[in-house]
Amino acid sequence: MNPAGGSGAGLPRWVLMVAFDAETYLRLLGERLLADPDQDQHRHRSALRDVAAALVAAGTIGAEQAWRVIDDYATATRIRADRPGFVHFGPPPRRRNGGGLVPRQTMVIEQEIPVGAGQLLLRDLAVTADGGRLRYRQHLEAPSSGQRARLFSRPVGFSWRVKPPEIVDSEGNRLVVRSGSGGGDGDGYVDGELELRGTIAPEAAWLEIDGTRVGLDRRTARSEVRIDALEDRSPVERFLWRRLAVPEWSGLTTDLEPLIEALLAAGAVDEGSRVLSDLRDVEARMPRRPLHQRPLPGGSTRCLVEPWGSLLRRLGRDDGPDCTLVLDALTPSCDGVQFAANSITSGPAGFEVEFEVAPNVLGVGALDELPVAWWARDDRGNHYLGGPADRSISDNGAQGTMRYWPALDPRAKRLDLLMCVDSYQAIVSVSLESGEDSR
Amino acid sequence: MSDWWAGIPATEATVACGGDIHTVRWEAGELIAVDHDDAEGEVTLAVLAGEKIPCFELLRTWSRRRDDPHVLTLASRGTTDPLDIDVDQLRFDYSGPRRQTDEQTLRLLATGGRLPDRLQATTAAIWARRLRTGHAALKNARPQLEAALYGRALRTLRVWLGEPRLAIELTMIGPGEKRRIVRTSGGVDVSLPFSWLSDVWMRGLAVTFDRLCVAAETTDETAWTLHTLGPDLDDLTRLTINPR
Repeated sequence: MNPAGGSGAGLPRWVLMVAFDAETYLRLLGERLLADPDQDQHRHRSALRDVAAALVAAGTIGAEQAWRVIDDYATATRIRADRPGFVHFGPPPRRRNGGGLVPRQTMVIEQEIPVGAGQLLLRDLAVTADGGRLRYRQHLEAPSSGQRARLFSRPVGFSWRVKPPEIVDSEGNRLVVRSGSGGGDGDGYVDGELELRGTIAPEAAWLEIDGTRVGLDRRTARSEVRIDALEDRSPVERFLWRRLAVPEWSGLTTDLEPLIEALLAAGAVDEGSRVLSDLRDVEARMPRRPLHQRPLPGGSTRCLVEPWGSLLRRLGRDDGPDCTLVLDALTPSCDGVQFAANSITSGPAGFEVEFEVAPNVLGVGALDELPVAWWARDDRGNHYLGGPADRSISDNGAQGTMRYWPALDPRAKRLDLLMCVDSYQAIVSVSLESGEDSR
Repeated sequence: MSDWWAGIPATEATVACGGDIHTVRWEAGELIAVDHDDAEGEVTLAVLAGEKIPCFELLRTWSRRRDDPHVLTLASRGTTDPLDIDVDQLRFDYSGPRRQTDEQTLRLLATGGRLPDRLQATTAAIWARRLRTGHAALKNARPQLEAALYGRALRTLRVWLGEPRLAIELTMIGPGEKRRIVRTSGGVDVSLPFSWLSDVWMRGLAVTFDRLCVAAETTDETAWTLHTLGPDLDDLTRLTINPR
């Protein structure tokens, strides 16, 4: 058995399945990784992991047994010269069950108020049963006329450094600031939010913040949510396409060949199959670091299967519209995962979605769990692929910014954000026609 | 059939024990605490006093771990694969029995001298015998045994042939089956029994006089007959050597 190759072409699949032992395959691969210093492992991630997950998806080995092999070779790697670190990687955390996102009603504010010596833009208020979340943006220097939110910018500071603001709604309800967070970036503004505790009247027309009154406008962008079944595929096909859609932990597009070789050796796929041909055609056109480098245009995408063909067709375009939409979209639970989209900000090279998800599905996942993929599609037939650009993670969930590529088609009038989980996808369908430079 | 330890030299390691530096010696397949004459009596006294005697702790750990195939996963694959273990500096990600057994194995592999090599020789010999005679744990251990053979054969062939990127395809055969090393378009096909590890590799005979040894036998544990191949892999030749 050779983990480096050898598809066993010419043998019936059942012969291969009988002869194949997935643990042995993984261990031989582990030996090769030990022997080949240029195939070094990431400090906290085993190079065996993706191959192990492929073999688990094919039903050739249990997740626990596969993890034992990964652990064994993690230890073996660490005790070789000049390879210090953890002896074990530790089993990957599974997605938590239960929990969910708090129902909320989002109100657009879009009004500046004075804070300290400067001005602060209150963006929106998400009202929940026992409080709310007030999101703001503070320009550290006076913005030039017509300045817009710039795409792909990261925060660094907190605006109310001395004491939290006093907040009361139009019905006389006084709110307590439970916590606040914020950050800034080199583009000269701070994005942050205040967690509020107390009752906010559903009919509240305004808030007073340190004596300044701001109106509450209920006009968020029009959106609908629903759950759809994912296309019916075999577990192996779904696994391979999903791995292509979800970049490596390092941000690199997953190299499918080692996974395909393992599955060929296991007899779980056929070398001449259409699905392998389609996968390889798409993989050859995928940008190496889609989330961290602006992808350059590739060759023809006509032969590529959908949604990949339409994803890669607009690669390298910089005609995305400048706009921000505030959303009030919370999906039902989808395969046990709930997703909220709070805003979409589009720029020339792509767009970002401020999101919340519960339970946390970012950076977790046992070998027998599919990573969650973040697709989007528009009414022009284009597709987009997302990944977390920044995030904060708790035991129960995660929130942050999802970055999508390529640029949003400026002619699009509707955008669907798709959270693809196991057998189902949660869809937030957003009308873009109200997206007229709301910031 | 010769004893599995025939041709493997004795070796010693030092142990800080009771304020002194003691010696443990491996010889003829056994580990001995050289500086403790009345082992049974000392152990009894230590148990009564609630104390541990490091020399005996090492022997006990050796006894517990020597048939663990995990030893072969962790141990060195030869001179091109040095280990660098500082057990006290290692950080374990999780607790439980796995951590304890791994820590024991790593402590044995971190002992001085050639003791770690003798540990893996012992492990290989135990499993070579179990493969011959049968054992309840064989089914679970077989992937680790095959990987142990693969990793050592791979490194041996790469160094011997001077081909650092050489790929091999291994078939782990039974001890009585025909051993074959054959060039293919993709690398080298290797058919060897697991016992090649204990009969040849652990004795340091894998490459002798610049020839690859595929089998070694002795009748008097002094003179050895080696079945060897040259770098072109097609001239099976017997060599008789007397290591002494």
